[in-house]
Amino acid sequence: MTWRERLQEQPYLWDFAQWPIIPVDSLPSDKRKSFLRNKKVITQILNGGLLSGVAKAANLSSGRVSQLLDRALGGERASKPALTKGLIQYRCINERKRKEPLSSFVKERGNACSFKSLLHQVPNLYETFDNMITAKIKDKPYGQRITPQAFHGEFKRVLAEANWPQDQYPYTTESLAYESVRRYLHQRTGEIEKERKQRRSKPLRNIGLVKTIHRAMRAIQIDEHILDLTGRVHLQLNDELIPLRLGRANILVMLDVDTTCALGFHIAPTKSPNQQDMLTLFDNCLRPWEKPVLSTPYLEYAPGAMFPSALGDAFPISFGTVQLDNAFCHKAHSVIDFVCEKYGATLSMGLPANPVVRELVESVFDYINKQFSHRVDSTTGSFPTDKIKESRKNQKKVPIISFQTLIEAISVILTEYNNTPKESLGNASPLKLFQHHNSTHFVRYIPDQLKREWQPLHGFKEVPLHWNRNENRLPHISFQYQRYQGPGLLAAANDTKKIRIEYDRRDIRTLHAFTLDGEDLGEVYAPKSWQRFPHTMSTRQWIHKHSKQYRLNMRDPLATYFHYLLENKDNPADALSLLRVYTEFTSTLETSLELDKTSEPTTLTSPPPTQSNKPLWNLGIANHRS
Amino acid sequence: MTTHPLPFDPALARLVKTDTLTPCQQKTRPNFKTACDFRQKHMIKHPFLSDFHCWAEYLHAGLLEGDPTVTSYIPQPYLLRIRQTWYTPDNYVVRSSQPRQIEELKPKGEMPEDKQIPLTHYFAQQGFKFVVISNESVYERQIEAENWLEIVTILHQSKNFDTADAEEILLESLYKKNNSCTLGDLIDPGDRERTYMQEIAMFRLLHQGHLIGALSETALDYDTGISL
Repeated sequence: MTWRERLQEQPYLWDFAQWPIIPVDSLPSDKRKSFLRNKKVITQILNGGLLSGVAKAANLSSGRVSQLLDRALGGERASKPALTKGLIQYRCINERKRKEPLSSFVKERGNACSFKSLLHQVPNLYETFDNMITAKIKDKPYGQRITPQAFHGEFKRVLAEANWPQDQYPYTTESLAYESVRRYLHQRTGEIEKERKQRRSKPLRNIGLVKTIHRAMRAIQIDEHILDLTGRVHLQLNDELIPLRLGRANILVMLDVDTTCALGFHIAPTKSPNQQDMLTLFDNCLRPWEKPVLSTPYLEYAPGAMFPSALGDAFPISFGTVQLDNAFCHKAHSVIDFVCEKYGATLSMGLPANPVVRELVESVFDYINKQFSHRVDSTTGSFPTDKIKESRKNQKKVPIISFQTLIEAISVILTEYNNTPKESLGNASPLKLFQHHNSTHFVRYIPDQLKREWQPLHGFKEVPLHWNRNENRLPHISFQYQRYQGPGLLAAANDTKKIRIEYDRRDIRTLHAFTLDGEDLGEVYAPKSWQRFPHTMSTRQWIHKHSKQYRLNMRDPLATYFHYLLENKDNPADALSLLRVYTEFTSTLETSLELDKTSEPTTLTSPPPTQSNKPLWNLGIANHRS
Repeated sequence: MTTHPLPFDPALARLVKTDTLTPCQQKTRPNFKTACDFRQKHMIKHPFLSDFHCWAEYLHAGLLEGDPTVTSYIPQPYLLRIRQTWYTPDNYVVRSSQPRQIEELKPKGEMPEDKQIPLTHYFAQQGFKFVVISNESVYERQIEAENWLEIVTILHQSKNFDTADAEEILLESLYKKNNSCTLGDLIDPGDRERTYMQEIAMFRLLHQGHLIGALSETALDYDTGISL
């Protein structure tokens, strides 16, 4: 097809403004002059200039100008013209092909494009290569882990099978076209992968990624991430400081999707967070945030940096859609009950193995890694062979970063994230946008009464009230594998079969009981063997689940469990559990934990003290189960 | 196809079997919960924790909440057997003065005929109507559906508040304001606590169909129009 025919078929090409633009400064300096001249010639001809006149003015022959036009506009009818690209001197426009026969020992003809020619000449070579690559890409059971060496081996096998003359290319080269084969492998793999992606028969599913409404609290994202660093802690036990290397803790973060504002976080000293950690995260986000006093030197909050819960009652936190993944702790009844039953929110689990839906929260984990986790020496890096990983020499020592510093640093980083202006938000900070949405748009409001009632770590439950008079013991209720007794139950035992209990998940030594009519029955107490330290539901569940496996002494289960962890404190994972349990046990203590000291014994038969509301614990009474 | 005096073909209807026709939400299997785009939410017209297996089902539930003719609906109402395969329809919808409707949501509204034809005849035998709704028709009304889902969230949160007096006062004040106003006229953005009951009363009246809101074009906001 000549340049004149092309212009007749595609008349819009008469306008040079329709041609692609190639900036002159993007070309090598030695080709700029000729490119500008060619451009000038073409523009003049497209504007109606005579070919001979234009050629004369440019000091070129008419044939050269015609050749230039053919280069830019000519070519195969089905293919696209080169256009502006054709004006660059020596630029390869057409696909290169070998015209001469292949090189042989009889006559050397060079090896340019020989491999490409070979692909078409040798029977089954092209198909064998394609089958090999496709099997790998489709992950077929007979697919190979293709290396360039293996691919070259297959190349040699097919040539031998086809009885290819030994005096012809590739046998004329020293490497037997190894480099060409290697390059073809990578090029063809990319092409086949691209074709497969374009051939996708099913359209992408609509999973609600298109947002039509942008509003604070419309949707939030929650996820967990194992921090890429190990920390240290000094446990104060019996007036002794025990240094420990901790395992990698988990961070749970909650983000508002439309304002990208971080609502809060929770560092769970465990490898696998549970429902208790999820509810603690909700509690952290809903409880008004107060700027803590930082113990780490030189670490301080930026001015105005905070979490939205610190903004006051005018900006109550609530949830529209809670986007999670399919982790077990997200499917806990306590979490579903809190999110769906209390807040009326939508729980969205998303498609499996599709973290794109929660890209915001994943990007925040990357932000934490860049800002903190990957900067300290005790980092583990992103993968086992990461070069930034802590050296073997330092791994033998306890890290410098303490657990307290870790919590404080992440608090500072996330509050600063909230306070940093973002281009995607119109140069507003997430916190400012959150405030703007709340003050100028309609955002759902939670009244004070409901806010007080909906405590994530407080639960209610209806339980049967048991009283077997033949056993000659007081009425009791069963809760978390234990019998709870209290003076109030005796009064209600004759009238009612079921009562309602209120519990705090962080300390289940005592519960508060009510009749179903709302009459207060006072507190009920766990057996004295479980009264020694405050403990969470998850700790009690763990002890019951593993008591046989680890042969825990159930006369004093909490201390036994602590001793077990203490014996294995050199294992970073157990050290992490030790820290969690230590934090639980000392949550109400002002002094350090005293594990082996005993207090004055009290009689077993005495009812629980009503003034202090909590019975005193001692080893003597722990030996007798109530 | 042979013609029958009955509005359904008994031979085709017999291909579908079930233990009961009392609609009750079928429990989603744990494996399927993980495999699909699963959502859970407490609704108002289905006052339990409702399961939705895709984005279209979820939006459609929002549209049903906003439809004043719909009195109630039940997602995943039956477990049916068509020949050798199990099948659960997406919705059982009760509309005032209309036959019960069993709905199935499918991309482009296309359902395999080997299932659709027996189901149509089976439900016609029971006096129900079986319809296939296209996902695309639901996506077109995304804003409206999301607005209604937001209202459902608010109404569920405030389910224990009594707003009978506030509803009466609100209707009276609307009569005085030429039957229309905006959300900003009823809610004080500076003191939401003070006008909270009025806000809930307004949403309840909207949900019951006594008020009409301009919810199909833009997100719920202070300038959203409300009329009688």
